[in-house]
Amino acid sequence: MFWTVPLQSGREDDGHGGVRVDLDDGKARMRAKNLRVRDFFNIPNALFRFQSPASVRATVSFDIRWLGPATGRSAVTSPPGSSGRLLMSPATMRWSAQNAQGFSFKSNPSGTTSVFGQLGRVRNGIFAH
Amino acid sequence: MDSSGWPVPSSSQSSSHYARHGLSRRAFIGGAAAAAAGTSLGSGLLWPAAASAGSFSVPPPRPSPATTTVDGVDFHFVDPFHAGVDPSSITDFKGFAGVADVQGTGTGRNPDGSVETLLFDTDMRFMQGTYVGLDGKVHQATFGFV
Repeated sequence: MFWTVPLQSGREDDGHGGVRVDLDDGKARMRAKNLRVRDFFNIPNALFRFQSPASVRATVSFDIRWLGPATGRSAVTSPPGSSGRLLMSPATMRWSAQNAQGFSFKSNPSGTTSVFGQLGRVRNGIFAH
Repeated sequence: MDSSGWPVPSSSQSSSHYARHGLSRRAFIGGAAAAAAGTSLGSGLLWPAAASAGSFSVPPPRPSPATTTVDGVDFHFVDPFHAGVDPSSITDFKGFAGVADVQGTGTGRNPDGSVETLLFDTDMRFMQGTYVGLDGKVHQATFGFV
């Protein structure tokens, strides 16, 4: 799997994370607290792992909110084998992280810019149709 | 972070839309040649989850068959930043999915105690619903592309 990890399902309020979706209002929230990941330092090394060490232990916490309003509702058109309906919704995010080498990062709470946000119901693979 | 993001020194910020996005995961994937040719990647971090079948606390899902090729290597994800694109990184899945590209600033603290203002640009996604795992059985779970 590529950069994909399980989050606790439907338990967004328990402090550890999860996802809650309200498509009627075009809103959603995705959270995690102290999620264990690997820090690969930069994208090229994350893809091809040429540095030594290639990665170190890290944890990350985040809180992403798709705020609505829902706009631009559209059918899923790609990739082939996927179907469903999606809507556009602007997002905000706060996050922090720290790695085993002692580096830490905390996002500025003063504001973020939503470049792209999209939500919806999708079906793919054997569920596509 | 699928990751959550990729902080880079604020001094690397440019008024060029492309330059700013050239430091994002999304743009790197789309413009790998430029990045490989020497685009400064700063001292930024990337927080991709290192997911393997053994690291899953739930039955592992199947990766998306849709791929993005970087330097001749196929990676199982798609550029999700277009209307109508299923952002899922897994297949045999039905449920809710979402994606967010958010930019912002933050404070990085280095091991030597020095502090710097960093930029970040994220590609965060979720998939919540029903899927067929590698074990061939139907399951329900929530996944993050982090």
